[in-house]
Amino acid sequence: MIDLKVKIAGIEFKNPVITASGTFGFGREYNRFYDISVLGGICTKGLTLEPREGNAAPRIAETPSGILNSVGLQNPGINSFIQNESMFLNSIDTVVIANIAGNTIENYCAAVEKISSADCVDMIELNISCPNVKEGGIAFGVDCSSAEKVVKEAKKLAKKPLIVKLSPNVSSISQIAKTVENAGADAISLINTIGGMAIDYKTKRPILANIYGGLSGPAVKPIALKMTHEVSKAVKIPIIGMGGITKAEDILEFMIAGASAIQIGTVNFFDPNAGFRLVNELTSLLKECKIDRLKDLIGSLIIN
Amino acid sequence: MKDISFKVSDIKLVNSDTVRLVLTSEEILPKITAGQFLNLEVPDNSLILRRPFCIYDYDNTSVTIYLAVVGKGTLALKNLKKGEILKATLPLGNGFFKINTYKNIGILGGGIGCAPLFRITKDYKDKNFFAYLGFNSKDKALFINDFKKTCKKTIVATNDGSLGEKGYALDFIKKDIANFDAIIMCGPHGLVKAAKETFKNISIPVLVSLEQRMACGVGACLVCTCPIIADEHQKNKRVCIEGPVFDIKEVVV
Repeated sequence: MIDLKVKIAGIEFKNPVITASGTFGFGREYNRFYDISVLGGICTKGLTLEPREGNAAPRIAETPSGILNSVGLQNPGINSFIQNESMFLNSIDTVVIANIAGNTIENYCAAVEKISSADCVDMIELNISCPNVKEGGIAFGVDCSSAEKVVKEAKKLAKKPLIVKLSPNVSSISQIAKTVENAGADAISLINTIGGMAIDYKTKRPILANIYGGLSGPAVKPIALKMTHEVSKAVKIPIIGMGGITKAEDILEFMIAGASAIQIGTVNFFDPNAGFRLVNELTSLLKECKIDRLKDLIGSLIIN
Repeated sequence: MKDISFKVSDIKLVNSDTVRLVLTSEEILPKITAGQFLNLEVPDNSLILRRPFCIYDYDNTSVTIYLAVVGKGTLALKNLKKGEILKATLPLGNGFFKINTYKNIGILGGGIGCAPLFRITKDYKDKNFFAYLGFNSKDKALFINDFKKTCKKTIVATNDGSLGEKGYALDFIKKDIANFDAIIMCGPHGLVKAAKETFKNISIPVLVSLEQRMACGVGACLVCTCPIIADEHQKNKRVCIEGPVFDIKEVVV
């Protein structure tokens, strides 16, 4: 019997496969393709205190082995989420992580306080790394002192374990990671998307209405692996790694680099059964590699 | 909706930049309704997104789509060979709604945008359809013989007059508007914009099938939104799951 279980901040996941924020709605869409209870966890679309309409379209551009998106946190707001999604999420047997975004420290705090009251939520992921909104988001994630402040204040109000999602658009992700660890984060997730741009040379216009967007997909995997490894050396709290995961081999690589669990994002868009497939492929791959306990792999990278 | 493996059972270049692709599955397809679409894998690993195409025609195990070669993805699809296997998720979107409440229906299509309109004329045998199909020129004209079989009248207009009437299909449907209970349309952005202006004071519904850059196709990613007026407020609605068909009065162009 292969043991796929992992534990993060006291919460047990039946396997390390978590769907990434913004790529899985609130779970309903993909529950039509497979029973999403097979997943280790799901992370909700980024939620804000008030509803947001997001950015103008086009919001997506395809680039080699990747995509740029600029959705801009379109979401129905936390109240509507709690009212309309709680019953569904309570009926699913998986860890539910609410991704929370804001534009001021007060706003983040109010959002964290409110989401803490939702019984369908097991953990909170603080999004201090959204590249697609004008105010807030990434502004908190690229500067140590503001990252420290927002995490410290949010932690005081969070009644659930607090994961902080980091941006790769910084000069030293290890420093930001250490800062949020010291400020009280229970875990770190990384990486959010990498700032990018696509241009149509014929029209001389950017493809995205927002001009810039965030890059994700297989193209970013080497960067995400490196940052997972760097951060795992810098902090003691668990890491949830993500960036371009499309197959079980990728999951093992992230865990060897130091991740305790992983998130799958862009792959959901081009394989609606990705979560189900990856959990199955992971079991087969571990059998093939004669590994009985997945968590033994965490941080097992051999250098020289 | 379901993710299904298809075999390319037929592929044909129908003009210089349009491909007719027939995909056949070994399993019985879920129920499809006119105006719905599919999200098709591209046979190139560096192009990770699927491509959305309306379903032109279908039966229990196969679907026919027409694709205009406009970029790398559609070029890779053009080079598919018979027998190749690829996946598609279908059926997606809502299709055309409330058709049963109308009797005489005007069909307005522009170029490859005529494609989502054909199946509806085939399905509702008790309705009278009047098609107005516009193309740039004779060599770009598509679907005409199919519409002639299912519609009471088919008017073809080309910009250069090389086939049918010279001018825009929109101008011809406008002259006959009193004959219809509803108009169903699809076409390039320019046509949608012109139609919105032309039809702004008419009382009959005009249903338009929209197109947008898309990723998941199932409502999860929120990238394919378009601004829609709902309850006097402008909202970003998902073309994939809240559309692709909207009342043109609600569409912001």
